[in-house]
Order: sequence, then structure tokens, then C-alpha cells
Amino acid sequence: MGIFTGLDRLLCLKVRLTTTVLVLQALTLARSLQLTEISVPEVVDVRETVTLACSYEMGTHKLNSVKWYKDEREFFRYSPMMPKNLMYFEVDGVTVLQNSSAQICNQFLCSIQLHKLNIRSSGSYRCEISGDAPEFKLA
Amino acid sequence: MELRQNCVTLLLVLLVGGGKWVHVRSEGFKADVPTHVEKVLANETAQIKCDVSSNLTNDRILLVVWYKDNVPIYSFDTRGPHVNSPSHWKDVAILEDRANFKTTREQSRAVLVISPVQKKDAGIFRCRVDFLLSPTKNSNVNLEIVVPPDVPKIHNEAGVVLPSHAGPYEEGGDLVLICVVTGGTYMCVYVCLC
Repeated sequence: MGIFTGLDRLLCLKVRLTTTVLVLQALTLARSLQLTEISVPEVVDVRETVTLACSYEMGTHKLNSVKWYKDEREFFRYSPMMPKNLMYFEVDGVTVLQNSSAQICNQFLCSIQLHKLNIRSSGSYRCEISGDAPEFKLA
Repeated sequence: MELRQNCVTLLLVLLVGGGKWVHVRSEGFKADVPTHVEKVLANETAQIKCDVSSNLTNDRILLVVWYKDNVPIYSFDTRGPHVNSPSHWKDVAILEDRANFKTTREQSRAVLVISPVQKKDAGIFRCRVDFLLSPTKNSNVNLEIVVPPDVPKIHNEAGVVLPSHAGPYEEGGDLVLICVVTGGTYMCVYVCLC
């Protein structure tokens, strides 16, 4: 146990983030809307700042929104077509680092950062991309 | 000082070098959203409800989109230019002209009405509601279409349909009646009155 005694003060809260990826294949002539990559770390130290990123290909669809959910509750939305592009919603255990220079959301990817993690930050994170009218296809 | 079991796992990961990035792909969408089951008789009217209520004052609906088995089939757009005259779109290949989305004036309740509903409409309907101020609401309804059974047909062993009576049969001989029903999930029970 000697190896651990020096780390007594480390906050022993395990933060486990699991990923869920949605891939929706369109069967129409339009080029499909696809989520190409999602990266969410599985295990993180609570003192760290975590980056969640999601890349996508719009094909012929226009980007309506990119939403991040934790356990089916939306906490972040990027809507390029709305006057207010970025929206943040309160979800327990989730604190998005606002005004971060590392936060990028555009037509190709949406990368956000979470900080002030705690045990309730643990859960299933999902990135959802929506095409625009009239279909609002999802990926 | 006591350390919990999961601390050991965490520390080991950190020692190895900082956490692992996971790139995972999976097909399909399985939301852990409560699913309500709605059973409707074929050719009747299905009313699939959607929760469009918001706790915040001054909030309003921007969009309602219905997905069936993850494919968009109906959209209701009230953003920007459509605020007073919302734009409806439906996938005619799936819904033909049978569907309509209705909301109450206060926008507290909403239903997707499909009439007449057909067996092929069965499936999981997901309602997505985008609000101006509140987070997005997603709800699922599992639509089951009940096809009632046809009138049973009774045959004898030779396959001859018996409209009202069978026989005559010899005393001591065998009587075999076959009951055939299509549709429904009912069992055929026949009662012999001797």
C-alpha cells in the first residue's frame, strides 16, 4: 500500500464517462448526414478539464443544431442559425467552461470543455446533430 | 486513510498516463427515455401525444419533429418567419395524407393524429421538441396496431367448410373439427354441446 499513501489527498472520486455514438444512415438520394467521430474520455481525474468533441459531415443538409446531452438531459446547444448561437442548460455535475478559447463549434465539429467535475459528472454523454427544415434529420 | 475500491482503478489509469480517449461507433439510437405504449385498432384513429410543456415563462416552442424508427416523418416549424403560421412537413411516402399535428392554443398539449391508422404504422415514434429557453424534450411512444381477428371458419377433416352443422357421424366414430382464424392473437376455442 506504500505506493498510495503519498496520494492520500487526491480526491478519490471516480469520474467515468461513457460514450454513446449515433450513426444514422440516410436512405435517400441526398448525401447522408453522418456523425463521423465522437471523443469522450472514459476515466478522468476530477481536477482536470475535460474536452468532449464530436465531428460530423452534413452532406447536403444544413446544420440546424448540435446538442450535447448527459443521461438524456441537454446541457449544451449550438444553433448557428439562431441569433443566440450558444445555449447552456443546468444539469447536475456538468459545468461547461464558457468563453474558453478551446471551445469550437462550427459546420464540422463541436468541441466543448467541462470543468469543476464531481461524482455526479459521471454518466453517459451523447452528441446529437440535427439537419434543418423540412426534415430535421438526426445523427 | 481508507481508500475506496474504485480509487485504485483511477490511480492505476493515471499512472499509466492520463486517461484513455474512447472512439466508439454503434448503430442505431436507443434512448433511455420513458416509452409510453399506445394500442390502436387498425383503421381507427391514433392520437400520439407529445409533451410540449415548458416550466419557464416567456418560453415557446421553436420546433416539433416526429421520428419513426429514427427516420423523420413529420415536422412542425414555428421559428422566425413561421411564428404565426407554422410550417408542417410530412413524409408522404410513409404517412400519405393521413397525419396531422395539432397543438392547443396555450401550447401545453400536442398530438400527432393518424387516421386511418394501418398495420405498417406500428413502431416507435419519437417526439423532439426544441424550445427557445428550455432544454430539448424527447419522448417516445410505442404504437401498437391491433388487427382484430376475422370470423372463424370451421372445417372438417376433409377441409370442407361447415357453415352451420357437421355430420352426420356414426356413433362411436371420431368427430374432428378444425377452427381457422386469421389476424389477431386470439386462440380458437370450440365448445361441444352434446
